[in-house]
Amino acid sequence: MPIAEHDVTWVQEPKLGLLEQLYIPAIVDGLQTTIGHMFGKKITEQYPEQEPTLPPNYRGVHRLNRDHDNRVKCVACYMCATACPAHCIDIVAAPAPAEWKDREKYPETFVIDELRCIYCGMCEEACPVDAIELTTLYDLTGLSREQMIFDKEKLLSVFDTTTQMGTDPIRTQAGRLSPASEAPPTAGETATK
Amino acid sequence: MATVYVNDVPVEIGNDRLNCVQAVARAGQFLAHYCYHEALTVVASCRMCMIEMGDLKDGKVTMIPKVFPGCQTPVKDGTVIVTGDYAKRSVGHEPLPYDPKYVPGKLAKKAQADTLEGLLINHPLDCPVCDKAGECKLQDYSFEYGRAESRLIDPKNTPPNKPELSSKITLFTDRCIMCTRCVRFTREISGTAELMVKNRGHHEEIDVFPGRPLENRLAGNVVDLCPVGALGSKDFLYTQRVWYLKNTDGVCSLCSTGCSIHVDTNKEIVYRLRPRHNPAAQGHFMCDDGRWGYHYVNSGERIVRPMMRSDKGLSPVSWYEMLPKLRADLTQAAAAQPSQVVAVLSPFLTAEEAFLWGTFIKGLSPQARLALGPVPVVGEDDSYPKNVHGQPVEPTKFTIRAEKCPNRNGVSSVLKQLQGDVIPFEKIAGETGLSALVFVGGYPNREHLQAAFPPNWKAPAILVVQDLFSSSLTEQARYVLPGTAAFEKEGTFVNHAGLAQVFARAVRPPIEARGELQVAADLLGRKGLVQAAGVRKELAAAVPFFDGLADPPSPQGKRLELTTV
Repeated sequence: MPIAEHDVTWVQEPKLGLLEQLYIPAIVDGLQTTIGHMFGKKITEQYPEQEPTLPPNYRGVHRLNRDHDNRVKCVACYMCATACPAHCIDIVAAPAPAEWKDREKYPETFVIDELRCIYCGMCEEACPVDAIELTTLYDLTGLSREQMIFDKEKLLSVFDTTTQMGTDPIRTQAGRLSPASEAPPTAGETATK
Repeated sequence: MATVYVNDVPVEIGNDRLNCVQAVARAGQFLAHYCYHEALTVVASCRMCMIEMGDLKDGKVTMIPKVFPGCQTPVKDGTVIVTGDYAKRSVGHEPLPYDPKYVPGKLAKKAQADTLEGLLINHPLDCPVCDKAGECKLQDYSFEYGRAESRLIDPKNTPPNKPELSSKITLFTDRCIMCTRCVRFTREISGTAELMVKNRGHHEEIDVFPGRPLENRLAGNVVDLCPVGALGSKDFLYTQRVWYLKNTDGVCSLCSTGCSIHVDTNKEIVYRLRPRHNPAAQGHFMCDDGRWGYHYVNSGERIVRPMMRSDKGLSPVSWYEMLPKLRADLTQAAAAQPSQVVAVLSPFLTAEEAFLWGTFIKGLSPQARLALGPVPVVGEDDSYPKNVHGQPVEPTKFTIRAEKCPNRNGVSSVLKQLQGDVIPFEKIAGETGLSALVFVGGYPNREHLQAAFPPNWKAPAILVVQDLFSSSLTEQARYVLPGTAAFEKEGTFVNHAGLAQVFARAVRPPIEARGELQVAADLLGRKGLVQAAGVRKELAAAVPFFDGLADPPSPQGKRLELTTV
């Protein structure tokens, strides 16, 4: 569609006066900022010696939460895989083990390709049982592409690590779907199991 | 002519005896319902199709001040139907002269919302783990007509699930809304009456009689009939979410009824078959043999690449290497002893494939012969409904044919046209001294094929086999070509009654396989990819029986006259 004439605003370049043409006030202005920083509070972060504290809504590596029985909280509803714009989540669902009386379906495998993921947080938002969350783990590295494909055990271990470290306590509270989304274990409980 | 007014839209219904659900559908509108189904009796138990109705007489509308279940209420000339969707009616029709105090649609809308609230009282709302989610009528109507929040504060009933209901079907009792479609199906269509309603009021449950599980050959239909996720097919349970599935209209290839089906696939894998309503073919339903008989397509034992026999046995070979050798062998054999070159075209081929293969073989030599492949027959035609003794009862509502192939009619018509008569396979199997045999199969069950061969059958020097699975035949073959299953090709099947149904490809064949149609086209020296629609035009021009197929037929298929050949 061509741009209509009434939508266009023509702007003229501002005329430079004598002072502006000399550039000296602008240089002084710039130097003020530089020198001000030299004597001000140091704000450079000495990474990696000094690790940053990230806000709790930072979107880093995923984790799969555990429920109060230390089972995977996920009910394999595929909502995250459906919401994922990068198609990086692959789930295979199966009937839950017979001894799980309160559950009918669980994820047999749950794989996230961390390289393909764009860390948008849509999976977290789509999850009806608060089973998948993005943590503040930001320094994700690996030696091969295969290492960056996280399976269910790896994602559960991210949960264990982050809850033990205390960087990512359970943020979301129980939803109202089923026992799968009941109160999470405390960090101490997880450590003992 | 009788006229009915649906939300002010006049509809001519002629002399048809309709209920309100059907009349609303005639008007191009929709009336939500759960328990009503065209093929089953009316019970008006779900109360979802509540409408307001009245009469238009002498230019004056008299509305009855209450709501009626639409499925149970017949319409007559001058009936005025007002549904809960009155506010969403299409503009352009003059409002009828209602009483000024009357608000059209208010009562019906409230009745539908209240019904849904009642249905959801004991529903567990476990949509995330329910296989029906995405195609669930309870979800759809709750979204469309229901309230957003539940007012229930008491605990819900949680009756235990009944996975032992049947070997193939499981019942999630708590999800059931008691529409009793499944119960009526087993009583009226299959006649086997395994299902029943037990207990009363809010404790009503679907169940089977002790020791009499839901085992009949039509049982799978209750899964489709269930408007919610209460009845689930164990075969499909938790394999896919329905919104990932791609639906293709297909034709079931496992018996000569040729049921119209939906083929549900994802990423080139068939996950589920569902019946497609087609009054010309089978009606609303399909049998379990067909419904769960698709697994051969996904089998790991299939022949997936062309192979040729050398001194070292069968070894994979490329198509461009194999096809010229194959054609040279056949040409040589046809030049030496034309009548000893035989092609066997199986009744699993589409009409187009049979035509192109037949054309190729007859092109080698007009004396070369074409035979119809073994026609598997298992037992006898099985008609439903049954009575208590298991005997079929008139009127027949569904028949499972004994002839376990989809296209005997189509292939024989092609053969008749190309050589005047149909040579049955038994005649060829008994002959010795053949110089070349081309066997174009596609048998989903290799036992059906092997049963047709005498035990000490001696293969001719040149044996070409195109089939899905290896069998005693491929063990002796010089050329083994991968076949394609019915879901992997497009074409036409002609069922037992002469109904020709054209279907599209639902999934891709194995990556190295070429379809029967493509192989025949390659052997004929045609360039490029072959299209079934083009071959169908040729077929319609060459074979009078297929006249009607020159134009693309409707999804319902087209009935061909069996007597023209």
